Amino acid sequence: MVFETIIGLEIHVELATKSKIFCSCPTTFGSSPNENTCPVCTGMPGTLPVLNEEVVTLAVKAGTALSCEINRINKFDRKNYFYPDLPKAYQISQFDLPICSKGYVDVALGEKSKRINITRIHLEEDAGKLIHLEDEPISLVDYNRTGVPLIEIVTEPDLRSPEEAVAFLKTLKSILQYAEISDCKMEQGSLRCDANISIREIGTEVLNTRVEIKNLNSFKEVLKALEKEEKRQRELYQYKEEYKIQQETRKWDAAKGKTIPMRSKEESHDYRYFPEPDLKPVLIEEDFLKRAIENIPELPEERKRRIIQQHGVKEMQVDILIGQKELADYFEEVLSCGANPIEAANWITVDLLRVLKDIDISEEGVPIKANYLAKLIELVQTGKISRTAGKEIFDEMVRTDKSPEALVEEKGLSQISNTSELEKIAAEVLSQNLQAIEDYKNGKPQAIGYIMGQTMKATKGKANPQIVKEIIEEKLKKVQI
Amino acid sequence: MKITSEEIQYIAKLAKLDFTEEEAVVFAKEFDSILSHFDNLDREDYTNTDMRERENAISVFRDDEVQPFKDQEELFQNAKSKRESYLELPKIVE
Repeated sequence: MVFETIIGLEIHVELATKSKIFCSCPTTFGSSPNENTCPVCTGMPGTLPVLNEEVVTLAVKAGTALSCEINRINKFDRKNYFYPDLPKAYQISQFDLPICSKGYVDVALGEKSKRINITRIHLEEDAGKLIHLEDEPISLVDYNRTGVPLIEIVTEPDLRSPEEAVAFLKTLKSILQYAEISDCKMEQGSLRCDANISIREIGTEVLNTRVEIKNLNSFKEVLKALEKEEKRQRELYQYKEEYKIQQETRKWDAAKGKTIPMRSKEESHDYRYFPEPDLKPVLIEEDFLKRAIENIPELPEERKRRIIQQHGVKEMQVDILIGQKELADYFEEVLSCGANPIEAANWITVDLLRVLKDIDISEEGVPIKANYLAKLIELVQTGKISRTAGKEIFDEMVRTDKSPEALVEEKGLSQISNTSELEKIAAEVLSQNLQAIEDYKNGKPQAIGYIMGQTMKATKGKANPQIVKEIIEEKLKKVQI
Repeated sequence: MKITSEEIQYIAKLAKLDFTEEEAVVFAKEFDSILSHFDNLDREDYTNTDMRERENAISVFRDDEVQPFKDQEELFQNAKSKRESYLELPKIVE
């Protein structure tokens, strides 16, 4: 029997708002514990939530960017459960009327493209953070994240392999970043992913028992955890022991490289949802919708088409550029400084990418100023410096903050330090100063200084003295009298 | 609608409440009466009701502005145990 893997994802994305979803606390990451809290987000009696308008705007933008239908009337519901990260003992979420439904993302898989359908996107508030101490029977609670606005994106079970799941996530992340909905930093938890995975015989349409895996904090972990669970389930199917697969939630332990069961089986998922009585239904008016959609920044596919059309850059290179928004922004900044697009694309996709293996530009930014790279490109194009010299200056610019002109000067890399050209000039100078050669050969080493001076004069001082000295010494050795 | 005392006990368990059998029987009756009141609402036809035309039926928004709340001391005054600015709990094992 041949089996296939069925994967569906639930992605939580923190929205890039300044304040929380229902109160005015800041959403800043990395504040000291419980600094960003107030009576509303800690669920004090008598407080009332008030919906942040920007949250609705960003969710509408996300829905539009992911080709969803926007539900002009949607509402909030309470999801009830007890856990110390949730001070109210309920999470305000959306149940039967989410803000967006029925969307899709087209994911490039090698040469082909596959459409992954999105079931729904709903709004909710984030929960707090718990730290379980290793050596003490203590857990610590930080409510800073409580009430940070989230969208939860739920996909259809359309993904067929761990690789597809990761490709989808990368595409999704890029769209959300371009649309400026979230910074999508997985390592800071602003993009989090849970995966549902099951196996079935190819040709059938059934959805077999699935396992939910939580705590997937990087693309690498998503891939590893899904591959591991896929292997486990496929083996059970091969030995006809698939009854051993239970519907359960497992937590991925990255350090141990395995999943561990999370919630006990007898505790059924009964969240007793009911309409949130403290919030009225959300109505998205026509002009609100129009405004939100008009203000969506250019998305990756549009940008790709535009860069190809406008600048004639090769598609393969544009794919690299748009793959990371910061890189595409940098490319266009270099162009706005007057650089030739083809040359800029070459420098960025070859030389810069080599350097970026060790640098995270979303954190640190591109190590070379855009106007410096533009200048460097110009220096090479106009023949002021050789391409090799250009690469040397490029590497130096990564390390230092110096301008290309300063580095050309400092390192004497202007074209005139090109050895063959200097050799010609030196030969000419020597042929006009036979007396000096004779003096040198007769044991007057200071004669070399005179010849050098003449050569420097001939190049109007632009020659690299070190190279000139070497050339002249070399030539003088060969002179026979 | 007929609510059984078993359903009451199940809901009580989810809500981490503890009732005696006698209490559960009483609550079952009371639940029933509340729910039958809601049945009245179900008999209404809302298909042509547009919430937009209803005054105060629609959510009001808040601008995305930060206004930090400063008195964490007071906010967490009832916390049984704190460590630095964290709340401290007996370890929760999943």
